[in-house]
Amino acid sequence: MTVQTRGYEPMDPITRVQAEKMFASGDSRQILRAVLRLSLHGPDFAYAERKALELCAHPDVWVRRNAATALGHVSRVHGSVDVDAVMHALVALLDDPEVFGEADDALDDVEHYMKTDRRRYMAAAKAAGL
Amino acid sequence: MREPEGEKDEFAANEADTEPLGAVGPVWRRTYAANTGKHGTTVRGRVSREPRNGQEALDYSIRIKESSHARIGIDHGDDDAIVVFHRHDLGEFPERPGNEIFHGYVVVWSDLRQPMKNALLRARMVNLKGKVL
Repeated sequence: MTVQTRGYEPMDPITRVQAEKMFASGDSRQILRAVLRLSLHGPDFAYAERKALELCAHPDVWVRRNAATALGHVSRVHGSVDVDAVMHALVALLDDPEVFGEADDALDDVEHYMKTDRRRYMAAAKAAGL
Repeated sequence: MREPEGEKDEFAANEADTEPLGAVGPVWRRTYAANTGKHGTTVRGRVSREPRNGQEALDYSIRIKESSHARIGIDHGDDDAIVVFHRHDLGEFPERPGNEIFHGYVVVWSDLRQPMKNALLRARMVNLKGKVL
């Protein structure tokens, strides 16, 4: 049995100024935490959503994973997202083998809380040859 | 030389893939990250509250689906609250197995998505009515 312990890592609320500093740091670990903290607490959920959508194309796999998770959080917590933009982004991430799981989870959340269906967006992506 | 990100991830994915659905698996300690700001001790609107014993619930949690790292567990010290966990990071030592960081929130049975209910049922953690066993 392997037992490893580490203390709690609080996901506290964050101001937009703090978040922007973390985004500008270029440090993937800071970037992913910033987008998660924004998506969990807001209050500017539209900003959190925009940043998460941008970060879906980040070169670091952990940032992309947490960007997908953040989109699920915004839909669950805030109950309002740009459904088309979020669904297209998450469906595109399903083709990213390193991010598939997080994208699938986030799609489940968005489908559940925003009453939508991924199949429509997957069909559209297929038709567009994406 | 620093290991490429993709190789680290492949290692982590292989570790996780060895654990079948419905099994607690090797009891390594995943790290629970409290949501001190959002998930407080009471439910506020759509924001679910944080579990009281998040680490313990995480230790005995199960994966929801094979394709994801999200987990679900029971906080027996919190009136058998059902807790959903999301993985956020591999921590500072990604080369070590089980070195994952999660946060979680309490969800009532009626608000669970079907794959979450299925995972709990498969693991015999609840009955068909959602009562914790």
